[in-house]
Amino acid sequence: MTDKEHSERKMAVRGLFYEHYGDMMRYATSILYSEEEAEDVVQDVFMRMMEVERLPESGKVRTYLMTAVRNGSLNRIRQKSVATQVERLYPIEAVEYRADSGEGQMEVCEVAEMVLQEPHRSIFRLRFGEDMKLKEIAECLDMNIKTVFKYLGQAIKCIKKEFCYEQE
Amino acid sequence: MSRNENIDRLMEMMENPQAYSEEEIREIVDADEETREAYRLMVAAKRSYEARKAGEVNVGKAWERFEERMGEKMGERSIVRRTERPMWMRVAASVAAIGLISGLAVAAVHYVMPMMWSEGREGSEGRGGSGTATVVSRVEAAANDSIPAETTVVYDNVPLEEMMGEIARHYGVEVTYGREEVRGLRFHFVWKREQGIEKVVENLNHFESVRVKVEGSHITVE
Repeated sequence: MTDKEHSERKMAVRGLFYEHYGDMMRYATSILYSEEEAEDVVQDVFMRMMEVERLPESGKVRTYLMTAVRNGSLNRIRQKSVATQVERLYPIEAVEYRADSGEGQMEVCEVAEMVLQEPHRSIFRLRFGEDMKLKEIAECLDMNIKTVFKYLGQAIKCIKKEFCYEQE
Repeated sequence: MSRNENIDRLMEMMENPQAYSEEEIREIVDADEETREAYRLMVAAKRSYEARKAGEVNVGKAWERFEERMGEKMGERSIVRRTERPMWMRVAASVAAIGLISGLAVAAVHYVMPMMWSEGREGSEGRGGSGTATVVSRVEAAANDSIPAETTVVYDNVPLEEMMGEIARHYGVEVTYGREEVRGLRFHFVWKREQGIEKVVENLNHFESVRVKVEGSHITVE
């Protein structure tokens, strides 16, 4: 690429950056749970845009960018050990990852708040919203750990039924 | 084992996954469709709570950081050892430079020397040997500065430790060496940055003198 071509490409990429960066970051963060890692992935995508032979056609840019973010995020997850993937609740290869735009999957917490009663609702939120271990939840709610375990299992099964019903 | 027991087993494992081997984890998560579904739901739950926490994005500052990173990347590409020219072109450039300098040295001996001798000074100007070497490296450096940005990096006689350092940083993984002596081994290696780490490791294993393994975010070189 000549200097002139490089400047023109940079102008074009800057335009796309300002238009799509926010959505790409939100999507990458929703997969990786880390703004730092999400920024790495999104920047990698734009770095690639600086280097490709031709930019995608204008009608396909958003799809290209969001797909690249999804693939880049999943590749980053695959580099971690399986134990770490499970610990951080990433999708793992043993479980087929369903394609999505990053929007449909955001309703589980809302479904939980709608259908669960206490203490199931709090246990569910503390486990998946605050990343607390069952022992910590038991101490926080002054409950027996086996009871917390039982209630969490019930909550998961209940949400699973509601969530699958909503998808049908 | 009943479906409920499989989900209980999943929940127990998730309390301390580091205590399980990779095979055990996969076996537990993959026990049946109900268990896989339960894990998918838990991932979806985590993602939905994380999405709520997402803060505002400052695009202007993000662009500045991106420009800085672009600037670093352009700096990397001007390093002499990363050359896209084939060996025969580099040899030809070196020979041409030697020829030019030798010609200049001969001219200096024929024209400058007599002048100096006539002024009564001893010794000779233009030490052809070291001067030639300096000019050759400058020619190569100047030529390389004009090479456009590429996503393929060619390591030409570069120590393994240096190569692996850059590759590991790019993929966000750690490297450990089973034998100290392999760090200093030099290779000619072509790295396409768009490739996945597994492909890069596969290519590295074509060298008979090293064995490279990747496990998660860790590379071992032996």
